[in-house]
Amino acid sequence: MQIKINNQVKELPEAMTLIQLLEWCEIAPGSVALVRNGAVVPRSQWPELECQNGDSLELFSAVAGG
Amino acid sequence: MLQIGEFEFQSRLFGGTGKFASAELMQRSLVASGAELVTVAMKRLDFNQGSDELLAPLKERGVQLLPNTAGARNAREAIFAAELAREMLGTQLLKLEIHPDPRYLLPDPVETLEAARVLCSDGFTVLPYVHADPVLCLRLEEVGCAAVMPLGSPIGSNQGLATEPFLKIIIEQANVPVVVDAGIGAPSQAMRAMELGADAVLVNTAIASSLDPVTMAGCFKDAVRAGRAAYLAGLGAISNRAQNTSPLTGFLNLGENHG
Amino acid sequence: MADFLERFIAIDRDLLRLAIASVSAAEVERCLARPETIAHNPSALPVLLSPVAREFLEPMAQLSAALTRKKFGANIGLYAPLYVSNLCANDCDYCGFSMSNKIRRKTLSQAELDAEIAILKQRGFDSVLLVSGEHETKVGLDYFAKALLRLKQDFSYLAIEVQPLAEAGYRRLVDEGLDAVMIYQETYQPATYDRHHLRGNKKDFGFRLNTPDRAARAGVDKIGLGVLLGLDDWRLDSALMGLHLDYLQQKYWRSRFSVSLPRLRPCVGGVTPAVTLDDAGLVQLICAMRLFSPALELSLSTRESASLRDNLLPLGITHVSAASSTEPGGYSNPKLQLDQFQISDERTVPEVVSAIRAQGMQPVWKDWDASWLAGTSFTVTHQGA
Repeated sequence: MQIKINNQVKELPEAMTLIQLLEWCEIAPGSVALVRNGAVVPRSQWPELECQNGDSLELFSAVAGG
Repeated sequence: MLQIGEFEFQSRLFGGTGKFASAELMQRSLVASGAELVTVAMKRLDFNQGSDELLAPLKERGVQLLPNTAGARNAREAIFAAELAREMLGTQLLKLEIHPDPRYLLPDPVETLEAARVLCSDGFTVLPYVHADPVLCLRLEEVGCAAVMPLGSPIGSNQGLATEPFLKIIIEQANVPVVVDAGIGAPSQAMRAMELGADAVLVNTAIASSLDPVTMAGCFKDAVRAGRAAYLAGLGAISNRAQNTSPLTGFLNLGENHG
Repeated sequence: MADFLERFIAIDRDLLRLAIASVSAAEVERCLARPETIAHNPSALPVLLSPVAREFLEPMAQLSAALTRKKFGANIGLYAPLYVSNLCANDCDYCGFSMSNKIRRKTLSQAELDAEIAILKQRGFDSVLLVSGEHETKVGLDYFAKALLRLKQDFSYLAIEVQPLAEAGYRRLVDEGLDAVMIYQETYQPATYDRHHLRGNKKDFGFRLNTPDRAARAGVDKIGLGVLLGLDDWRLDSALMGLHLDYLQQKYWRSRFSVSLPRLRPCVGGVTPAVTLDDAGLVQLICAMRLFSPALELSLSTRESASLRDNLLPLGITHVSAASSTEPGGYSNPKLQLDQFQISDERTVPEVVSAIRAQGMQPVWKDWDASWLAGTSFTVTHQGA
């Protein structure tokens, strides 16, 4: 299935949950926020929710600044 | 001990993580400053960047992170940024910063009040960054903000406490902690803010862009301590948080029956 | 809501030209003695752009360098122009893409665009300026929307330098991720403008002039102005551009602004400069714009020579391109000979980066001032009362 992450199209090899997706992208889930199709997804739901074809995901992280 | 929401801080110097030449220098400077609360920004994840070495060292030392909504240009964007921050860092603590004017980076009072109202009712511990407008600070307190953060002068201007007359009024009238933020360019200015009775100051640029940030951080730490001590020692102007002493009329025992 | 054209018509250009020419040395001295009175003060423009101000180049440069440092740190932003098409329906006698020039026309296909993008990414660019000729039917809004969608995957800051669009068009592109619009008036003198723009939509001076208004209203983050230095009296043109900038900054206070400084260069079938702007004049112009608008971005392309660019870096410039190609597909195939204009600084990107560092400046690839929230469509959980 095809999804978009931060505007880049990615082809997923198999069905996976959001937490598995982060692992697959080699992103530490630690201090990252995930937005799916425009809505913030609570961290607690990441192991449960599965990626759907055509999902548009945005990932944000904390950086130096402020 | 300074209490903001459910958080307690020994140090009244808050720091920022921006504008340092390197992550290592930032860590050492923050250690030298003794800051227990530091602001962090948020950005879209950069896949090429790899994980930031920012947070782990800070968390290890027990430093509280304060996510900042800077980049938001209106209430709606700020509320979205707040939701991101809560998920990202697992904290309800939030610095609400909305500046649509790229020239002077002054905070938008209308958007800030609106966002604060929504976020406070949603359980966030909101610290709004605003102009030193006493009425605005009272309104923010009313909607439930845990503190107020009036500016000393525009970000990056190093003009110190240009808003001093208004900071005094805010400090006098506030029932929540007052944290002076932005424009503090020298330890003497941080000290001055504390002498006026501010509960804390937030300093970022002055430390990060100095020639020797680690030493400068130590100077600010000393200045904030001295300023606070001086205030408690009796420098403070009329304030409902000063010690109530009536040395000349104390013998009348009027203290018991205030209306 | 009236746009700039209405204000422009009311400007007495002859009086302005006279003012510039008759400034005295004493006036310049007084002006520079109190630099804080210059910022956003339109009456300072003729003073700083006057012939006599040339005598005060060094003090102007000192002030300009310090002010730039204060506002921008030591940062120099890097961007790459990406020419997608040289199709054009205008006839402008100073431009290589002019409709009547018998050159091979090319518009990039999706695959060709991908190839150009790959090279720019590999070179490290994160900010791109999409450039095209002006051909509304063949390279119009739909083409740009599609291109931006593709570019957004690889670059975090997108600017366009294309034909003037309608406000609704800019809105649509903003939704697709557009950050900045560069639209150069070429010259603010209508008679000269008319003489150089012979055929096509670009003949419409007023529509072009009002483009920044439309783009700003559509929510474009940054607007870029410019004149083609040499088409006419550069001092007058720059003063008028300054007034345009002043109007825009007052009215669209949420927007950021940029100015480019293209000097007329040789091109196929081209025109020789009416008025020469020498290097000292360019320095004067950079310093004048910096002092007049402290937060203004000033951009210098590879039109200028390597040594001049290096020397200008600490004076007030904030953005430069590097190893540019001014032809569609030119990064993948450098020998096509479809250049819009000849470039002068032919150094590679690493060479330019080294040169920036050698000047004590810091090359920056990302626009940290652009909002990280821009381009994200979202809904908030808490709808508010």
